Amino acid sequence: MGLRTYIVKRSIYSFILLAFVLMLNFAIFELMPGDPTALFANQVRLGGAEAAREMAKLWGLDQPIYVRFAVYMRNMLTGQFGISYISMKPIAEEVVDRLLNTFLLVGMSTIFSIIIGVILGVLAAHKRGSIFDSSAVLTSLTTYSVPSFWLGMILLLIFHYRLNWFPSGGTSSFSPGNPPPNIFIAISDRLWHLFLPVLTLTLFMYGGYLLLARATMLEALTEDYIITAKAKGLKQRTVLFKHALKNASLPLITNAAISIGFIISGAIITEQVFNYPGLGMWIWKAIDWTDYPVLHCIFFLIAIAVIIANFIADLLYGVIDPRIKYG
Amino acid sequence: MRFQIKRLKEFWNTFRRSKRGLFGVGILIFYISIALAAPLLTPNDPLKDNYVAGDFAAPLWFRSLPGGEKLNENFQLVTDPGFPTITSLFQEWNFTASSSESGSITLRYDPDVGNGSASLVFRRNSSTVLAQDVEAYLTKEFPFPYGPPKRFSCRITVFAEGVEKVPVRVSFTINQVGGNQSYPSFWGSEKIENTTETGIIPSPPIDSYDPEFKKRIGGVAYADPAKIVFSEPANYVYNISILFTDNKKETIGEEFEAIVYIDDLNVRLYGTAYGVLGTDQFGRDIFAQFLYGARISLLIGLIAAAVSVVIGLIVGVVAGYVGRSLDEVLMRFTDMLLVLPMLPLLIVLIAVPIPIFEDIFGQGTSMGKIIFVIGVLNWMPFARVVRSQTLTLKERPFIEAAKSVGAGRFHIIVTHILPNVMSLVYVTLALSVPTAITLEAAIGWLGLYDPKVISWGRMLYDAQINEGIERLWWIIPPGISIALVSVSFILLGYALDEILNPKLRLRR
Repeated sequence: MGLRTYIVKRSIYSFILLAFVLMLNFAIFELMPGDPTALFANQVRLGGAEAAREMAKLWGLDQPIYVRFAVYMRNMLTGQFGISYISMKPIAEEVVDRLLNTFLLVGMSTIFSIIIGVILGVLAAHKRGSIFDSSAVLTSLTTYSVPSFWLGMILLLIFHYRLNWFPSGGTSSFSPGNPPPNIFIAISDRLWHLFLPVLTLTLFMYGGYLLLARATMLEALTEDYIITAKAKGLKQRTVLFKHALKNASLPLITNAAISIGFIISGAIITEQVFNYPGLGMWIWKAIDWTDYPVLHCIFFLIAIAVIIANFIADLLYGVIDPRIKYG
Repeated sequence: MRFQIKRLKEFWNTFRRSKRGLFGVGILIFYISIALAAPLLTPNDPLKDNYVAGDFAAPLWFRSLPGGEKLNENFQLVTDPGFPTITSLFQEWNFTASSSESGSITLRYDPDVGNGSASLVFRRNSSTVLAQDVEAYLTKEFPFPYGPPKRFSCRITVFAEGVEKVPVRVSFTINQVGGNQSYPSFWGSEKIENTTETGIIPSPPIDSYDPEFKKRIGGVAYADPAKIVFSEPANYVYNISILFTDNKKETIGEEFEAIVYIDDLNVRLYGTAYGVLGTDQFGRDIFAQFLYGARISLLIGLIAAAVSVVIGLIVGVVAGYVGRSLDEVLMRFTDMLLVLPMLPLLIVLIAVPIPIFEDIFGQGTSMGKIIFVIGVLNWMPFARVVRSQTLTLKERPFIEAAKSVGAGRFHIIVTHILPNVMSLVYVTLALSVPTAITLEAAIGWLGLYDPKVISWGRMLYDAQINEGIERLWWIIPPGISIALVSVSFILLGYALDEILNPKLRLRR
């Protein structure tokens, strides 16, 4: 069908998906009880009745439902997220910070877990049936089934409470009133705080990649061209990585791309364990306080992330799989 | 019927050879049995029986670990708190009394007062001297070679008769034998000058967690009487003193008896070690919580997985078989649902009371709600798989044969397609349970649960909230169990897959 047609088709589809997800988000929040502006009206500190009326205008709360929906779409798509109930600050400011924190955490974990998982998976497939293979499979199954929050708790127990090597949470030991002396210390302090959460998430995620890589490699290794490659006298490493892995990598790549979409939800639990101020914790706090503007914003971001990730996955799929390019 | 049994036997023979499958099944059988046998394995209710021992008690077997000798079990000072028999009184207690010219005190047992009580009788003779203060002591010594108990409580009921002429005061305390007592007695009654209708009971009850008692013994409201009284491993003595004040001039020369009854003596030292897994922040048995929690976690996991498989099956088969536009619509719908983030949606649907939900499932977080939400969010991948399988099956000749004989769509689906996707169903069921169980545990851990329900996730939440992370016996059993049950289902699923899916058999 050709690459171009494929891309166009997928883009249209993504837009439809976005519209649908936004509709669903809107519907869910419509179902929730309570008047979101009541919080404002009741507290003078938060602005009182004036602020309540402004919020109502911003979200079109006193209008019929289709107007509200149109307002919602407009707000989301133009980035007008409004003001958070909790912090009384514009959401747009806080979003960037939190997004960055979560990206750091989940991004690093994903990269590490992919690298470790794929390499170990390839090796396990290569040494199929050996002790290395069985133990790799068993350990990754275990860390994969262990609930991530429990893993985090145990790691906290060992590395913080018993050994006190790492802090128990937060992103940094410094604050605006107590700034870090120089950028190296700032960065290393951040990394120090990130270590345990990243370790937890990586341990939790690498299992999936290992098992997937191993399975696809096993299939690829039985193909005839592998025998040809070996007969040509190529090094083991070349055979494994340049030939087999390339062909096996399709599901891996699409999997990885899709999991990027679930970055935000994936982090909720880990951030909660380590008190890490990212998007995950923000969702949690927002739900606790029924901070609707924040929830709208976060769910919108999640939808965008997932759709973009799916689109990229489809794109990669189209580029790598020649059946689509030439087909 | 015979054919089915034969098939089962064949299946079992093949299954037996899969070591992983057997391992998985073994673990499952273990957990299912302990979940079912919960009432037999523990007498305690996991949520209602508060303070079966002190709070945050360690497990009993910790006492055999180094450093565990200081831990103490629950200790009941008096075996017959109500004194229903005479033996406990005279064998376990010491009685001493001072005497005077005008009167003396004797101890006897009275089976008619209360359930039977100890009675101290002051017999006044006809001497012309007033005895002033005559005191008797009822004491019991006991060894307590452990560290301080977490908590202790004392009960006592006092009746009096004939004390109009000789007012009496009762008090009791616990002291270390040979130690310095720097604190006042635990309780002292006021002067009892009337025959009591109902017993006199210390009010508020004597309990080392009571703020007034803490102030009395330790001077400040945050003192710990348990640590002050039982400061070191030693012998201790429980001491009740009864003081008759014979100083009423109008009674000189009279002979009479004044009696004080002591009943309902219940002294309890709450242990710092209890049971298989210790206790939680309210003194509830963690082992009981673990067993009953197993029921909830397993139940929710299995049912939610079943729900998602059933929905996926229906959607997938219908989409695959009917095809055309229905297929398109259903698959697009499925894709759109796949885009939704599961965990945040799960949290929102459960944490926020949505009116429609509330009507169906009732207030708060009920098991039904959780099962429904998990089931409804998890059917999509399976629907896709079933659909592609159905598509393949649709083209097979036997379907065409059935159609040519005039079989209707519904009939074909049920009689021909369904049996051939059943192997997929079993495998997916096995592999969906871990997801459901982990999700349920996550909900519990986030604290979204009804406090009336205990599950493994909830146990971890309790542990974390109450700084129990360092208490290994609290956090390890639930966490490891979730992991083990998940692993066992996954192994089971893999084993089933290997057997039922010929493509996956070992390629030599």
